[in-house]
Amino acid sequence: MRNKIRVFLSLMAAAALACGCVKTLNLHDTTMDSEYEPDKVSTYYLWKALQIDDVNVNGIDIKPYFDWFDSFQLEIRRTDGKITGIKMNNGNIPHDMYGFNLPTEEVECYFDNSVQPNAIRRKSDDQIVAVFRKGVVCMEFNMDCKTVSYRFMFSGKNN
Amino acid sequence: MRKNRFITIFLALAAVAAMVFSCIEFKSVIWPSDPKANSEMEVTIQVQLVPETEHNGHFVLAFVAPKSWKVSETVQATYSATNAQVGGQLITITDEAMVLANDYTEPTTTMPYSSAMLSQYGVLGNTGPVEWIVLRGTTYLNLDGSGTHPTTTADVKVKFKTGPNNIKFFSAFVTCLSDNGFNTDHDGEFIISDTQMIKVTGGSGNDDFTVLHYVSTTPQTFRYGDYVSIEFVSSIDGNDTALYGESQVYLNATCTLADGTVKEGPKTLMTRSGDETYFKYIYPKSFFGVGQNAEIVDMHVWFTNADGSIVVTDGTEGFEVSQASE
Repeated sequence: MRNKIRVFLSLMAAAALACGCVKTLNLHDTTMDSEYEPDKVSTYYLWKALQIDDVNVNGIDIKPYFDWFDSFQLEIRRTDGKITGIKMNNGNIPHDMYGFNLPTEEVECYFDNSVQPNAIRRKSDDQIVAVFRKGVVCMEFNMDCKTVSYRFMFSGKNN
Repeated sequence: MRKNRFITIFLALAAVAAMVFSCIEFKSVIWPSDPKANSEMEVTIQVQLVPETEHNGHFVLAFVAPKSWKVSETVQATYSATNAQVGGQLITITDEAMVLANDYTEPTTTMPYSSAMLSQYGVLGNTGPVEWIVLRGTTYLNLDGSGTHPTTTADVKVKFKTGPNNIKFFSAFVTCLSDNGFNTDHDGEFIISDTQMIKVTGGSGNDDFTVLHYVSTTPQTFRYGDYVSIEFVSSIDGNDTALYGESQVYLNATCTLADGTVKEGPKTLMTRSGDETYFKYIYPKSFFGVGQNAEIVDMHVWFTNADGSIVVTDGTEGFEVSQASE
């Protein structure tokens, strides 16, 4: 019986020690990440090019059918941890995504969390150039038919 | 023995529960027997609501119609309901107008009701462009299941104008209460009627959305400035085309520009997606090499094997692949 109590107490002590090793993370801890850099230019590549219409409401990924999507790049500059600039390289894609020309040089922009989804707006004219959906950078636009829309989703890796 | 008795009691209780929660039911859906093109069509629907559980919301009714009819521009709907519970009282609603609910959100999907209907029920097997028209009553019903649980019967009349073409398509009606939507906590809270084939005659042309076509597109509705998948079926219901069984099928296409110039695209290998099905995504302006500012006004396609000795086409120009009007 005494042995059982000893084993039990030992296990309790070990458990308490183990719990003491767990560190609670909060938002400030993200800056302790060795890879976190408040001033950084991140490059994004097209991950999915969804075509969305009345029938295919979740979208069909058309990226696999056109090689030119591989050449599309998006660069977002962060300064002091805030989004301050954006640059797009349309690559070989033969059409514009928006009703205005994409910036081929870096342009000043800002993060707008007053709209849903949160957006990156061009500073000069407040045009939305990208949005964040569940943490994914997206460009959303129509081309010719108003019932067909496109959502380009970006990731940090070139697939 | 005891186990069998338990199962019997369980099944009996389940049956009673199913009856209790069968809250919405179509009693009848009556389409006109011989609808005509370019005419007014009236559909009469009777829906029964049994308020055994707590249900609130506007009465929602949706149905499928060809997109070309632009039903939302002509639709008029009225309904009358007896024993409707409104604000804790039983009243009879008469001649209550129904309004379009395009911007109304279905609560379980959080999509507009017309998109939610597509997501839930698709296009009912139609092979041509159709859409869900969604209407809702203006009176907010409180079917809270308290008191005597009266049955509410709603008589609905939906009128709209047909298009100029002869057409065959599938349609059905769906109903639910707006606050509940597609909630499946209990059975029978939203329901779809039997699908019916509607045949409209007396017009021009012959659109048949009830059969597969040798050529189709995804999206069904698009314009030449969009990405589009051209799809080919080499056999339908035993009617084989000359390309049936070919492992490699090539897309050939021409387009006409606004200035009358005809351009031919490159012969392009299609992806085989099934024994008899092939597709190829194109961006027409690049496929025909016409530049971003060019205006394509029509497009025709035909299909060949690798050496071009076998051709499947329609008429002299090929199958027409038409774009939506702006």
